[in-house]
Formats: sequence, C-alpha cells, structure tokens
Amino acid sequence: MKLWRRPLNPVLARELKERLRTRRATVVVTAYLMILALILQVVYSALSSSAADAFNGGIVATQSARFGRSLFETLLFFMLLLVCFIVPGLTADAITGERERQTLVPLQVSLLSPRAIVSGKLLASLAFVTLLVLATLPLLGVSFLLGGVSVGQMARGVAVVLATGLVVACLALACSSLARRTQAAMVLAYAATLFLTLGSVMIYGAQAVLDDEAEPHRPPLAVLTLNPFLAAADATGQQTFDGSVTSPLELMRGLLDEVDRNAVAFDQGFVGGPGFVGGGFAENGEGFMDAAPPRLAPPPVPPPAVPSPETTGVSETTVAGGSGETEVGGAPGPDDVVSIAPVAPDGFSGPGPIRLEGQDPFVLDDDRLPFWMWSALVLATVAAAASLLAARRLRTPSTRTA
Amino acid sequence: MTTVGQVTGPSEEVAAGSPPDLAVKVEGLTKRYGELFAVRDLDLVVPRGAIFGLIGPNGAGKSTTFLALASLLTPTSGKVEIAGCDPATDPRGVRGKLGYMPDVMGVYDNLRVHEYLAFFAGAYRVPRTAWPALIDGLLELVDLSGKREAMVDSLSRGMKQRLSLARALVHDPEVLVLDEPASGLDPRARVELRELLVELRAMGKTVVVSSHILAELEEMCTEVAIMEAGRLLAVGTPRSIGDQLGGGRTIRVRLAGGEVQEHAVVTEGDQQALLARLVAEGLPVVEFTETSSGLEDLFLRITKGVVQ
Repeated sequence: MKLWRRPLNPVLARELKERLRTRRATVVVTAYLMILALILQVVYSALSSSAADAFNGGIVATQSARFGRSLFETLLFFMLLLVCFIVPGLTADAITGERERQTLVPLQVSLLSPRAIVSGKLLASLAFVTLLVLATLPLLGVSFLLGGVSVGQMARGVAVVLATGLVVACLALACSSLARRTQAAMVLAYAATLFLTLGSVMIYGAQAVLDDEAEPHRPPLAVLTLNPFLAAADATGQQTFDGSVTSPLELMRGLLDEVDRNAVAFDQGFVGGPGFVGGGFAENGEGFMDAAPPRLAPPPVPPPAVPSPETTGVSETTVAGGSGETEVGGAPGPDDVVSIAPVAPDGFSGPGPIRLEGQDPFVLDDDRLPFWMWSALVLATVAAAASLLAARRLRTPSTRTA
Repeated sequence: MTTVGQVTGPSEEVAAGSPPDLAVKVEGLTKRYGELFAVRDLDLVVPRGAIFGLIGPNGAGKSTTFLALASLLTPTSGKVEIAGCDPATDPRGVRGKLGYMPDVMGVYDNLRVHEYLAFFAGAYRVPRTAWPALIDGLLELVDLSGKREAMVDSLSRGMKQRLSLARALVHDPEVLVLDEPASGLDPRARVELRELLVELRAMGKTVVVSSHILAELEEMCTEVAIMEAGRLLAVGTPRSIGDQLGGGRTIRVRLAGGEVQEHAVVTEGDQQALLARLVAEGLPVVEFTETSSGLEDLFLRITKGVVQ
C-alpha cells in the first residue's frame, strides 16, 4: 500500500483529537511561548545595550549579525530546555494513563500491533513538539531579522529540537510502559531526561574528581554523546573563539573543545588524566565543569611545531555557512563507537609533549565523524531501544491492578 | 456436554477444513500466580450459537479464563481455542474473531461516541469507507443512536456498557466474550442487555458471558457453568445444573384455600412426581412455582465461599 494512502495510525488520530481538546495543550503552548518571549526580551535588551556600549551607541552590521546569532542560539537553547521539560510530562502518561483509565486492554485485544500503539503515541508527542516549534518561529524570526543566521542554520536548529523531543518522548514512553502508575512514570521520565542532560556531564566531571592520579583513566567521552544539548551545540554551528557570539550553546562548544583536548592529551600520553589542561574554557569562568579543576599543571609546552596562527579557519565565524555539518571523509576513524579521539594530525605522531596553548589544532571538524553525528547515533540507538522496550512491554498483557 | 468427542483432530486441521462447530474450547487450562491457582485444570466447550454463562463468586477465575480466551494471558498449562484459533500461537487470528468486553469499561475523556467507535474501527483495520454505515448500525443495535454526538464520559453506566458492547462488535466477531456485562446495571438496563444478547445470538454469534449472580444469567443462557476457586463445579443447562448437583430446588405450592406449602425437590423427575402426587391427592393447586431463592440457595451451597 502506498504510504500516502495508508490510513492514519488510529492511536495517533485519537491522541491528536483528544490532546487538542484539553485545556492542558493550550496552557502548555501559551506558557511555553511566554517563557521564550520573556527570554527573548531579556537577552535582546542585554545584548543590545552591551553592543551599544561597545560601539558608542550604534550597532554596525557585523555586530548585528553576531547579535542575531547569539539571540538565535540562546532561543534555541531554551527551546531545547523547555522541550526537555514539557515532553516527559506529556508523554509519561501515554501507557500508564491508558492502564489507569482501563482502556489499555481493549487496545491490546484489537488488531493494533504493540508497535503501532507505540508509534502512534510517539508520533503524537512529536506532533506536539512540532506545534511548539512552529509556534516559536515568529520569535526565531526576530533573530533572523537581525542577520547572522542562515535558513539552513534555522532548519538545523529546528531539526535538533524535534529530534531531541523524539528521543525524550521515546524514553518517557519506555518509562510509562515500565511503571504501573502515572506518577511513577513521570518521576522515571524526568529522571531519565535529567540523566541525559545533566547526568552525562556530571559523570564526565566525576571521572576527573575521582580518578586515581597514579592510574589515570581515559575521560569517559562516551557518556557525553548522550547529552542532546552538546549535540545541538555541535550540530548548529562552530565555536567562534573570539567571543563574538555569546549564547549557552557557544559555551557548550567551548566545553566540547575542552573535552576533546583533554582526550587528545590523554591519548598522547600526557599525564594527569582528565584534568582540564587547556585554558580556554577555564578563562571564561563560566563552565559548569569547574568542579573538576586541573590537579596537575600541564608541563611546559614547547612552541607550536606546526605553524598555526590564532586564526586557523574556524575562528572566523562564517555566520552563514560554518557549521558542524562537515563532510565525513572516508570511514569513521575510531573503531570505538563513542570515542572522539582524533586521528593525530601531522606533526603529532606518537606520544610526546603537545602544544596546548594558542589555537588548538584539535578542532572538532577534522576528518573524524563529528561529535554530533556520534551523538545522533547514540541517541537514536537509545531511543530505538526505549521504544522497542515499550512495544515489548505492551505485547505482554497488562497485569491487572484490582 | 456430549460435544466434547466431536472435535478430535488437531487445531490446524480444524482451521484448514470445515468450520469447527465449537466456538470455544478450553482444555486443562491452568493459570498460576506463584502459589495461587487462579484457574485449575479447567475444561470448557461452547458450541456455536450458544449463550454460555460462566458463574462464580468474585475471584473464582472467571476473568482469568476470559483473559486467556482473549489472548491477553499466557496459560501456565492447557490449551484454548477460539473458532479454531489458538491464542498462544495465533493471537491475531483470535483477535479478529473475538470481541472482548472487559469487566470495567474505560473511557477516553474527550471523545464523542461516534469517534470512540471510529477509533476502534481503525484499530481493527476496518476500511475507512465502511465506518459511517458500521457506526450507525452499531449505535442502532445498542440503542445509542441518540447519543451519537455525546461525549463518552457523559454517558450513564448502562449506556457505557452498551457502547462497550458496540465496541466489541466493531469487527463483526464470531465469538463475544463479555466479562460481567450486567454488573452494576439497574433492572431495566439488565433486561435490555439480555434482549441484546438474544438478538446477537440470532445474528449467529456465540456469546460467552460471566456473572457472579446466577439468577442474572439463567434466563438468557443456553448453558451455564459454575466455577469456584479456579475449578469447574458444574456445567449444563440452567435447569439441569440443579439436578447435576444433587438438588436444591424449592417448589412453592399454593392451594385454593390460601394454604402455602414448600417442597424441596432434587431432579426434574422429583418435580413431576410431586405435581403428580399433589394432583392425585386431589388438592386444589393454583400455583406451582419454583422459587428463585432456591437457585440462590443452591449457588450459595455449592460455592462454599472459599475465596470470598
């Protein structure tokens, strides 16, 4: 049967109908838009005043572009944050709610496969996230107006939000299938989301704190691929290095860069484990990895072997095109699925002191698979596993709660 | 239950060949939850076109049996067959042939009656073009045509029950399994339900229905089985049940003078003998009725209340 002639998934059709008839949908969309509008207002006034200061009252075009970019990325960050906050709440009752309303058994006994039930629920959640994103477009339009953001970037940002919503929905659905009551499912779903967002970064940081100095471990980079925010940061643009773009996502790019350098340092035999050896991120003083200060000072660093001035490629933010979406040359380098260890560039064969000052050669867009792609793979696997689990739990009959 | 011997071949053969004349076959069904036997070694045979009543107190294993019939429960041991399909190996086949109505009817909050039925029509893969006629027909059958546009959760309990029945009929199943459809209904709704079941039987469907009240079912069922604590106590027509279990009917005899006698009888033979005796004695009998409390007594006596 042709795709467009297939009848709409009945669960999806019903969910949409039911969901949009509740007051909850209206309240959520309104609250979401109000929060984002408020953030837009605050950021706009803060940025415009600082920009005006720097330029003695006027804003030049390039400044306006950076301004627009910062605004866009800040909005994107808060969209992600809100989606991570809203989606578990709207999805966690998907199966427990049916169970509590005693409507699950008629569904299970129908000719709908568990997979169809699960995909109907997921698509309903995704549809709601899409509605949220569409409702945000006018706000995003403000940043678009200022310049500095291309249509492609905007599309990528929207795609990232939708993908994040889907991943979180899958997790929440799995929680819903595991729990007996909606409350428990909610707690589980928010815990899972919190693990992805904060937990992954904290595990990475904990490694640095707990690591035995005598026997340093490789920093657990794998866990960072679980973080949708880092993936979003990497997927939507590149670090500017000159601080012209100020947004939470830009901060995260700094963090990623830092993490990458740490891994490289470790792989190059640089002692000290996953301490933060570089300066860039610490200089900002805004990293949430500050809990893990370097415990070993980096050894004296020889001058750069390869001439690489301050402004190699990436530091010039090409406001329109520059993105993490680089061509993936050849096969993915590392066999380790989640490793983002680089293939040592020329001049760095084998262990030895490495150059850590100045501009870093280990930028994320070398011939390795970019971080966000790894992250997308990992998150897609997690989401697929979660939805399969949910379908599996639906296949077995519901235990009756009397 | 003389029909047991008629179907001897394996289920595949039955499914492939002529339609089996058994709607439901249960052989040695056992379901254990840890130490607790919800159903123990249950054998049931329901011929096509029957209205089969499964009666027992709460916790007797009726709902468990029904869940096994509805392919929602894997038996610990034993075999179930619905119109030639085994729920264990062919759940989809069973689901296509069986309409199951659970004991509690859940409703969606924000759905209209016709949308509710449309949802399940979709869930049973009924082609969309057939929906309007199907929904109108079902609503007429269960006498809810006037409530087409009403919200499902605004319906009364009896209406919800009928809507739930309409839902179970959406895919025109051969066998209907109704778990306590009459519970909580007022007498009028109960009578309507009974009429509906008889109508469904006339449409050629087999109905399996459960209750914990014998009197509720005895008038509409062609066959009745009594369960307690997961075991089958008796099977037969509502009439013969008493005979099988060694009695327990009370006959009320009212004589012309207003004198009332109560006689305990065991079999229908006893009942005939009693009447013959009364007539032979020349007594002016104006009323010779079986009191319904007799059936309740019987039920209470044979179900010892183990699980209550």
